[in-house]
Amino acid sequence: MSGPAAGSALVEARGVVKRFGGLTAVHRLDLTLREGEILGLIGPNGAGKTTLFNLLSGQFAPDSGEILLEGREIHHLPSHRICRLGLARTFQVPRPFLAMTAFESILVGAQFGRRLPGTSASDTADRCVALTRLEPRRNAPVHSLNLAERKRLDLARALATRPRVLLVDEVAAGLNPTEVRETVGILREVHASGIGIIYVEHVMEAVMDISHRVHVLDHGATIAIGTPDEVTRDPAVIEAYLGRSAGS
Amino acid sequence: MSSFARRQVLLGVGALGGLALLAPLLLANPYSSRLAQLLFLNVLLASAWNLVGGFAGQISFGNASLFGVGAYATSMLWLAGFHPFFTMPAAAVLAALYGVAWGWPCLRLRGPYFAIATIGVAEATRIVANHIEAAGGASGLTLPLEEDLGPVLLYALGAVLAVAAVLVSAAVRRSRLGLGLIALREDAQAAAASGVNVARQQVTVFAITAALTGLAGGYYAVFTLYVVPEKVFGFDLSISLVLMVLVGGIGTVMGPVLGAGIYLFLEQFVLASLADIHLAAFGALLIFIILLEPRGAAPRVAQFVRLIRRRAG
Repeated sequence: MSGPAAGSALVEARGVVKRFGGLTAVHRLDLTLREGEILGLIGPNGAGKTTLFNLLSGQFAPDSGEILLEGREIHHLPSHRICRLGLARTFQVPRPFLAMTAFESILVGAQFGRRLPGTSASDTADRCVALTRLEPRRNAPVHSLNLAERKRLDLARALATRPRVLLVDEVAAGLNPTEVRETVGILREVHASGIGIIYVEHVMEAVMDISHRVHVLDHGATIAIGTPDEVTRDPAVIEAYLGRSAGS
Repeated sequence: MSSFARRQVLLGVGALGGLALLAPLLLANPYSSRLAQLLFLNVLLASAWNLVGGFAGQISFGNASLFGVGAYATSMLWLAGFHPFFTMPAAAVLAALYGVAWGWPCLRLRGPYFAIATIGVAEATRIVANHIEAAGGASGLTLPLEEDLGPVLLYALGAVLAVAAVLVSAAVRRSRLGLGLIALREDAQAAAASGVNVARQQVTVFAITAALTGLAGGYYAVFTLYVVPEKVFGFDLSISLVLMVLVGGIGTVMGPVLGAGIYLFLEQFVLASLADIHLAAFGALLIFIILLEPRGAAPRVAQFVRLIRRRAG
């Protein structure tokens, strides 16, 4: 499919299904990330958010359905190819390269990610160090970084691959309010630089604050899509999070 | 030329110069020149093993399969009339091809699964080699003693090969390939998500490992003049490489060099009297060293060198 309608979608998942044995983790899911958008992705534990990220980033192949990045099919590609086409991710629990310094880890993304002519890998890495406020820790061994720093390092490594789309998995979880504000600020800057973001988060003040639209999952299927205000008022969403009220 | 390349060349020339100065001492008698040959051989083998074992974190117990291919390539081409030194490139290329042929599928496995697969491949190779009559079967090949292949020439060849292996190792460590290898060693999934082609990086470095190991096999054939499957494809050889690198310092450039020296010293002077059980004794020693110094000798030596420098400066 081509044309202006398809062109405005950065990422499009159509009818995606993923089963693990008898469990259907993602069931006939449609999801769209538009150009210039921050899409919040929320849902109770086990709703399939991380599985969806693993599908989008090529860690798993879907059992059926298709995934498009800027109109191009990517669901049959391995992770490194998807990364080089411009889709990068962070991990729910940061996955640092412990034997490296912070800068070296970020350099991995810069050297192996999407190639853009006229930019050196180390310049790109340094820009990402600055963007994620890691300058004081630039040459520190990764094993000495604390949780908040490791989360920003994950983010920096992903950004160093020069993505068009960034998948952010619970970057605010476990952080104190100051760190959450700082992280949200970084995501705003990332978005301002023209990168589309899909943002999985349990910390509602963070995700509701910066998302243009919110996509709500439960049991691997969509239960609501809308602006942050719309979904927080949606009865299906309230029920999924809090259960049915005793009176009704 | 970049400053790193210039430094590499200087270090290489310096190392070869130092070895040339030591030559009269090491070539004093047949035993000492044999020790020098074995040291060069061990440095070459351990550095090669460390590229995939240390940098990529894929522990191979099957490098003898590559060593044997190199040893037989050199031997058979030599017997077919080629000058032994000119058979070296063939030993490297054939070992690299064999390494890629089995490394490609096996490197999809990680950790202990890869290690077990390498044992299987190497043992199968040894058994097959025992049955190839064209290559002398189980009784192997005896090579001609040639006057012009004297100890000086063998010393020079060994020195060049060993120094080259260390320089290759340093270059890989600093390269894009090296960065990708350490990334995939630390976390293969995160490396792939950062754009690292895990399979290709591993096969590439394994081809380099295999080529250097094949060269070592060729060198071995040239100075021992006797090649037999039980020795050159033997499991003992594969194990000894793992031991050398673990003792010296895995994942470092100088660790395999230190480990090669320590191993040779123990094998020749300390454990020789224990004859057949020397590998068992070495294993016990290894456990002892790993308990005391799990990262091997290299970090401790580096620390010592820094201390000396600070005192001197």
